[in-house]
Amino acid sequence: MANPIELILDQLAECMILGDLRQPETVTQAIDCLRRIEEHLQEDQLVKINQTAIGLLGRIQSGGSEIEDSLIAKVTHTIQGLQKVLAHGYEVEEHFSESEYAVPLDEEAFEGSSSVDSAEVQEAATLEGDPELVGDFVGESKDGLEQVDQYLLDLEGDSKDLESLNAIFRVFHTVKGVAGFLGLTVVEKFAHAAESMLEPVRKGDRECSQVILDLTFEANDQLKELISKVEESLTTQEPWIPQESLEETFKKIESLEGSPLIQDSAVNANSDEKSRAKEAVKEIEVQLEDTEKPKQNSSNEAPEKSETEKVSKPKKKVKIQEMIKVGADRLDNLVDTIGELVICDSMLKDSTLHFRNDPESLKSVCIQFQKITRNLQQMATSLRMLPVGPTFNRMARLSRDVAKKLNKEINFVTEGDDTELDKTVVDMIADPLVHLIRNAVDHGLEDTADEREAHGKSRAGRVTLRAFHVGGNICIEVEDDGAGVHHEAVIKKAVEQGVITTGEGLSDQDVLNLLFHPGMSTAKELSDISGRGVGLDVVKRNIEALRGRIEVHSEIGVGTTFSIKLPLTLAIIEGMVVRVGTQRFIIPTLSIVRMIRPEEHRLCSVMSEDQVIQIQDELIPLHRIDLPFSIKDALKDPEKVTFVIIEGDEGKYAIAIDQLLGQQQIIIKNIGEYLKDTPGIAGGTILPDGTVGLILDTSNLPRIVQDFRAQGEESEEELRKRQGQEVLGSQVDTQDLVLN
Amino acid sequence: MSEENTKITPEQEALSGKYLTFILEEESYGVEIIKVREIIGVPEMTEVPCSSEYIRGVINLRGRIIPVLDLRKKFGMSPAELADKSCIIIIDAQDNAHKQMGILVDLVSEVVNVQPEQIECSPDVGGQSSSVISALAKFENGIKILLNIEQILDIEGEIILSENNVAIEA
Repeated sequence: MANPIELILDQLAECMILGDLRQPETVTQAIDCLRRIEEHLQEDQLVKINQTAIGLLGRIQSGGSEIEDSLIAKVTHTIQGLQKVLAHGYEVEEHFSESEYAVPLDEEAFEGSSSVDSAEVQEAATLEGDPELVGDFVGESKDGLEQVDQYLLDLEGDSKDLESLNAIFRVFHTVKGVAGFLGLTVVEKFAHAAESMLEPVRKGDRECSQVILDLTFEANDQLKELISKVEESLTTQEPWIPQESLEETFKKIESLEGSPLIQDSAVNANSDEKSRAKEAVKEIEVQLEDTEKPKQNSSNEAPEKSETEKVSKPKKKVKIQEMIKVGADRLDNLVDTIGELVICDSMLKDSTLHFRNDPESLKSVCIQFQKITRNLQQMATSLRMLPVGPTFNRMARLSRDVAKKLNKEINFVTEGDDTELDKTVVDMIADPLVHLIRNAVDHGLEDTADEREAHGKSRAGRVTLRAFHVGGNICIEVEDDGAGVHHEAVIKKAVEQGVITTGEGLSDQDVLNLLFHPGMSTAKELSDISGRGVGLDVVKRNIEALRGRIEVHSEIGVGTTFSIKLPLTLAIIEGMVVRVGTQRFIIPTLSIVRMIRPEEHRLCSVMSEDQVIQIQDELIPLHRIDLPFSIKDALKDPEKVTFVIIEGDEGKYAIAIDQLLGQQQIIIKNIGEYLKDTPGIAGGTILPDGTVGLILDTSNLPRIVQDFRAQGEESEEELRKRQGQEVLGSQVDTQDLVLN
Repeated sequence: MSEENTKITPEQEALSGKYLTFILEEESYGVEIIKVREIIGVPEMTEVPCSSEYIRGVINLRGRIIPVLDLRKKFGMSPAELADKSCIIIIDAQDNAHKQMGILVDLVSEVVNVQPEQIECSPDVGGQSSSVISALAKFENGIKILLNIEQILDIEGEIILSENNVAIEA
């Protein structure tokens, strides 16, 4: 028993000697040490002294800048006294003189009389200086708790994995410590309960059973919820109230404390742990009641000034800053390159000053500049890059939960965890992935393990989530080895929903694409896992918002794969600059299937309204954008235009352009609040000549053309009359093109 | 309309201050100087298809894309060719950096200081679209129409006020 205390005392001494009590870190550290000491204390007197010290430190902590020297002196004295008492107390208890702890006890009296005062000080401090700290705490805790999920999954795979267990323990401990420092008592207590629940497991006193794991998962979720409530209250300034389900989890933890531990460990230690954890649980319950009171009888506001008030009061709103961790080498590189840029700049100045008819030197400087700029651009992009690993870990957790709920055995595999993506993409990819993983586990895999065995597969279904690079894009795949998509079921459903009238003549891929149609879900009945049939179309839309594409491949009996192709970054895309009339547009290269010259194709008309291009047995509808875009000087002659085949929302289509001007990197710019909803335009960019180029929204061009037709039936009549005459003499093929 | 108010209402007080005035079809308009970010000549504009007909196009202002509102069209005046003196006034919306907008005018004239007593509040002009006019300011050489620029930047809907204004000035 003496050993841990001595260790902590050493730490405490170190922190008192090396640190400065005016520094909040030192104070936190000291409090942490004292708290840990408290856990090992048995004598009432010592506990009191210890609490006195903690109380004093709490006052320093909350006092902000106005820390009195006398207060620091008192704390130092108390802690020194405590150190002496503890050291002596364990070595030579008889030598323990009254005078030595009289001082601390005096302090206690002093503390007692001013306890009300100190509480007020603490509250005031929480109001003024703390919002930023709370913000940091929220960010850090979220990261930490996110990791806990991963560790838990590891632990579930291998219950002897002490490292993971310790990691989980550490996270809870940190959350507890910082929450205590910030006065978020409910969070602190809850984290403490979770921690104490794991303590016996860590010491090997209790088996790492499924019950404990489940409960830890639950506790982790509750903590996450608590943290997000705190976050919410920070931004909205509304009081925060712990979720109601919290108490339930507490009860579970409590009941667990009563369950027998492994017998061969010391009985003493057991009861010790048990009672401590129980205490914690009880405290939490009290705390919970406190916080719930204001909610229940709002007329009775004044007496319970608990957390609810403290957090809600901050005067200024706090925005929780998004943080990105950037490797130091990347930053070094960046600074180096900027150094090169500065050198290059002076070279440029030099060569313009002494130009001496030497265009070569200027040229070389320009090339140098170009090189550096490109490097800088790459580096700036790389700063925003994050590995997809953490997101994948969340998916691992999700698949576990879903599988558990459905009583399926699954084997979740992730590949390419270190593939890096733009931060925005990483954040936004999570929701679509949740859908896809749920889908894979719920619908993708066979309903029962027996069914799998009957098909000669392993009992546990496999769901693979992998990320890899393809060309300039990132590909993320969700693959299951389930039964595959039954085409008949899809067609039947689609007909039922009125999406299609008949399944005849649809290619396999067409059938699979029906899955993305709004209102389609092949799940036999609605469940809380599979959602309400609004799955895949939402996924598709989300992916497209990221300028990505989603495809599905499926083979009966083998499995289904959803693959998502995403651009590396959101800010810069590869684009084709094309000209229609005098207007220039940019088409994202990602959505272009191919470009063809007239001689390769045959243009046919359908009902003298629409045209289709026939390319290798494939018929592709042609849309002319010059009319809805009111471009008057576009080429009309189909022999001269170029067709761009684009993969759109509802299949491939072609648009006619006058000329392809080239491919280049396009920096996407916001075209402003007023124009952001302009149909057909996804954004803008600045072209090399300084003018603005518009990026076409390839997903909805056909719709615009159709809408335009529907609206402008009358004006089209006029156009027909006016323009029809020009082409009367030309070939049959061209006629329809012009008419539209 | 020239009835003198000896007492200065809080409304008049609030509307007084510095205005940037510009000319549209011989009429003088004013916008609060605080809302003006800068005045630039007319660079090459890119037309935006399918956008509101009052949007003349978008311009590149030092790397930012800013839509330009054709105020003549918005006020239902005859369209005019760009001339040497045509200017774009860049209006800043305080709350949102993405809400900058340029307005195309014939000519920027001057910055005037409008005194409270010169202001004629709630003028009964402009019919239903009178919300775009916050007040009229009386000057020796005529009136200046003070615009409620936020209302104008709401690009939907044509505002026809020229006819009414002509009637008043006559």
